[in-house]
Amino acid sequence: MSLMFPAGLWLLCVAAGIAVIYFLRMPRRRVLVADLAPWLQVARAGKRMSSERRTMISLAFQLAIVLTLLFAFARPFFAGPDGGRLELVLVNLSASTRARDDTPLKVLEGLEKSAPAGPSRLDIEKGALQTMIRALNPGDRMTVIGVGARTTIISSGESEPAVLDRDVSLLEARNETAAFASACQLAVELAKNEKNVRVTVIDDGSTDSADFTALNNLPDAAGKIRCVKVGKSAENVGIVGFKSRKKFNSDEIETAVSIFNSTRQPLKVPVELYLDGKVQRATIAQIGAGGTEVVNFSIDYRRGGTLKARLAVQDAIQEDNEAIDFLPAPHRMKVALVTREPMDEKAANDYYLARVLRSDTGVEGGFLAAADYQKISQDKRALASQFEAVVFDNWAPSAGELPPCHALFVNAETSEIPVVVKGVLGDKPLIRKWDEGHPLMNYLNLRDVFLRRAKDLQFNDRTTDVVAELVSSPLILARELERHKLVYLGFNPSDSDIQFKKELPLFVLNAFEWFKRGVEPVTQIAPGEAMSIPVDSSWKSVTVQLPDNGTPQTLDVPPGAENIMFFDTFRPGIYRYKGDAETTATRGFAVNFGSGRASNLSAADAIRIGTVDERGAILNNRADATSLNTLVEHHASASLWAYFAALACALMVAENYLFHRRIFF
Amino acid sequence: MAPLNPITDLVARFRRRLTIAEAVRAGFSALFWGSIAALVLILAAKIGGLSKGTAALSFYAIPAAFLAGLFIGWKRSSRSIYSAAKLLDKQLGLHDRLTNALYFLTQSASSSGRSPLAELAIQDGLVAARGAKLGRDGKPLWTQRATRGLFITGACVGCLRLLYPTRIVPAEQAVARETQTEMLSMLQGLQDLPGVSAEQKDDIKKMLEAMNISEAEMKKMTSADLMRKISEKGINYKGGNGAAAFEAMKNAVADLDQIRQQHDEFERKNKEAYQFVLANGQKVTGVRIATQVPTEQIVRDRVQKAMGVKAAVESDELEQLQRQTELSAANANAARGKIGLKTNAVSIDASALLVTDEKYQKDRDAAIDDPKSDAALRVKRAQQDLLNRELEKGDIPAGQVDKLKNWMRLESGRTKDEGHP
Repeated sequence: MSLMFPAGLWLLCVAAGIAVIYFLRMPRRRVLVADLAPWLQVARAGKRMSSERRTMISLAFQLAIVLTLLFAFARPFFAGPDGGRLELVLVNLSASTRARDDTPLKVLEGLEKSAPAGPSRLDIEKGALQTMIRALNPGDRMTVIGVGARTTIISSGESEPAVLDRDVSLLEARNETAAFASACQLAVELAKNEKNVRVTVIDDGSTDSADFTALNNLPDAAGKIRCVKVGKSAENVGIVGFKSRKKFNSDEIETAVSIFNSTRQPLKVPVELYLDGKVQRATIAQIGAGGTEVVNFSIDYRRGGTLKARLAVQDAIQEDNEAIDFLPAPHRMKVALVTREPMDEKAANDYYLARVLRSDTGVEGGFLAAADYQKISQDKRALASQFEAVVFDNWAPSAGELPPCHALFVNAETSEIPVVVKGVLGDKPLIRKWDEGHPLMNYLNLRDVFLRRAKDLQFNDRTTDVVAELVSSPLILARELERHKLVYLGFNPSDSDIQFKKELPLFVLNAFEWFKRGVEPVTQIAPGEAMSIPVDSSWKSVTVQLPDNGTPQTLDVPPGAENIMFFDTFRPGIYRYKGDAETTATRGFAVNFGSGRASNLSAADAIRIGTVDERGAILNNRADATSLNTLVEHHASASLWAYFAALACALMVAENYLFHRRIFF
Repeated sequence: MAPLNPITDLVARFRRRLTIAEAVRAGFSALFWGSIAALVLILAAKIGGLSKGTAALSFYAIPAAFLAGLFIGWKRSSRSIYSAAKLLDKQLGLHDRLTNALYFLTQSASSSGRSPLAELAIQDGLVAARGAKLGRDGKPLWTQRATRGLFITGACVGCLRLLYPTRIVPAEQAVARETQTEMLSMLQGLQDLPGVSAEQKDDIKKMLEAMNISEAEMKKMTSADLMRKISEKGINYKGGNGAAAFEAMKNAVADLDQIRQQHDEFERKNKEAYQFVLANGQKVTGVRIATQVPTEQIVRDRVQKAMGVKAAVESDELEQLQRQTELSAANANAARGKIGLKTNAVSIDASALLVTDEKYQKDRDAAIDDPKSDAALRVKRAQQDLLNRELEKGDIPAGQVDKLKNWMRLESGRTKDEGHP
């Protein structure tokens, strides 16, 4: 159950009045007196008021009580000459209204927590609105327009103060910047059909006057536009941008933290980077007054989780001292090394190509003999699901047994890279040139690589790139198909000193890096932005877990869909999702808000609205800067009934006391 | 005549006991002032922004005051043997028998001789002294002021706890125990690194002095605090590669944790079977290729690199070749200088040197024939030296460097020797 008018519970105080009356009427105490006392009483009786007069005064009291009660019931008020008015209120709900302007700026040490001081700007806005609601006269209506990036009507033409009061009490600051231009346009449209309208703008001073230009289109009858400023210049430092990405060709994550200093002095701010609550990097950023500084951190990409940047400071807005991003768990590519002959565990792990695979922490490797591979290749589903890349060493399967994934063919030909082996170049062939710009050749220098022999190849396919070549034959080829990539090595590394050089591991590592390349997943969006969730073909539904243990949402996946859209992303935090076949949600994305405009609390300018002349100056300023104290003209208007009711109670108590105690009568 | 010692001994014993009792009592009373002083000092330390350890030194005021009280009490309690005898008579109810005897005893007996009365008094005193028992001193040692002092001392302890609350660092924010140990051993081991020049040793020594973060300090700090502290020390430190080294040490705090976690994960995965179950139920088993588990050596290498410490040369052949070439280049330059030609600085390409060296060529051929031969070992060492030089240039990204180092360790078979976190 909830109350329409909770303030009405103050009338419970009447019960106290009743209790007082009850005690006044309590039976009088019996007091033994001397015999002479009654005679003295009789003597005083001569001086008493007559009973007629006493009854008349009592009657007057009771009439006054009835009259005041009637007045109270009739709900008297002071109204304007032309009836009820529409109060159109535009209230800023952007992130900057979270600011507590009185909070002193200081650096936090160790486990010290921030201690914000004073009310938030939103609290002051709510206070102003509640004052206006209390001053509403019967017949007046109020439309409250909440202004964020989206304009929302909080209450539309509402005349019931209790309803308005409840709506206002539920207002919350949003993770958005205020787009007043569209809100003003809406206000003008709403005001068009009203005879008696008054517009009030409640803003924290962070909005540019240009955003209010549309209000100049209000009819002249609407008069001045009341502008209430609830914010003052405050000291704040905030993270306005935070993004992480995997470094190119490296197992490192690079994060950039943009920090804005809206104070009037240069600051040294401790910046910390956390992964799943554990600090990874920390530094001290020096930021000039009113400036922005970008702090870059580089960390090893060994595990996924929630990345959080934190400024260890106490300032006006605590929320913008933290920013988050989602770091997916690093993916280890499933790679199989296939050779013609089987090998035991020791031999397989000691094989020179296996040693390269072992050194790559981004690879989950396994060894298979050709015969075993051929068994697996009969099961196409297993072939597709169990391997992401295969290295065929001196042996290649037939066309029908090829895996539908990336492959590196070492000294073995495949139908997917059409070459003709003309023979063997056995006289220590020289490597003539290599394509330094190709991803396979990163940091490679093949100049001093010694080859004992290599294949003499004939090659006419234009869809395949020659990455390195001998004087008379291509040596390394690469081909990119629709869904996978292929690399062909036209010599046996064990016939070369490349097996002892850095060029071999670098070449293989480059090949895996090239295989892995693709579109980077979206890991961070802004609040309210739609998220495209990539789905697996086997999924029938996706469950999205909301931040702070919100109720999970399940979305159906249409057949054949590769992505589904998720729209409920207004709350900042980490959203994790999983397919119906999965037990734990390992994938996810972060909703993070950061804005220089929301963090900038240095300006708190007065609003100016009017026609702009050629010089850009505003003529006939329609904005009327209104302080909180002067927001309401007559505070007692709508609540006059309460005063009458209180007077009735007071009269009742007085009458009881005076009449029954007979003090004066 | 009976010996006189019993009376003087008794009185002297009583006087000594009195002195001690009064000194101790004064010492106990001084506890009050000592605790007051401690309280004031704790408050002053807090206002002055001093640490908890420094503030705790204020408690020394209490024993100091006790000692001072002892001394003052001892000084105050000095009294003549006569007055001590009077006091003892009063305490034992002997009606001045001891005092009188002592008085007559102190009168010179040789000059005029003692009167019979004096002799009698002395005899009587001796009898009384023999029968006297000092027992326990009647006056209590403990005083009310000492009790107050104890209360104030308790208040001091409470005050210290209140003003300097004990810091409990949550586990997720604390520096892991393993990390603490590893970091300290890393710091200690820096100077013993192979390939460190004398200048670098000095530099490392200075850096370690600047760092100077103890295990006890680390325990009290969050990881962020530790990083911030290293950062601040790094900013203040003026040295060759100090800033980079401090940065590397700072990053090590978190990297060691991550490496430890990944190490466990890889170990677990490496033990899993490499097996496929096909749609027809057939099982195909291969061999799991065990990924090289990351070790703390990665962090050590980074710190070493940041310090500018180069990897030790392992290939004698390459070193000799390079020395010869440098020498001949220097000779050539000197000769050119003598005849007035320009002396160009010659850059020596180690890789090209190796390729043209006949001995290396022979080793290389033998290595290709038998990759486990001694020749192959020499070739590998030479190539690893070349790779180290390439890595020291810093052109290859850190992630690839770690993988190349993994490969290098596997090639040289050093993996078993290295510890892991």
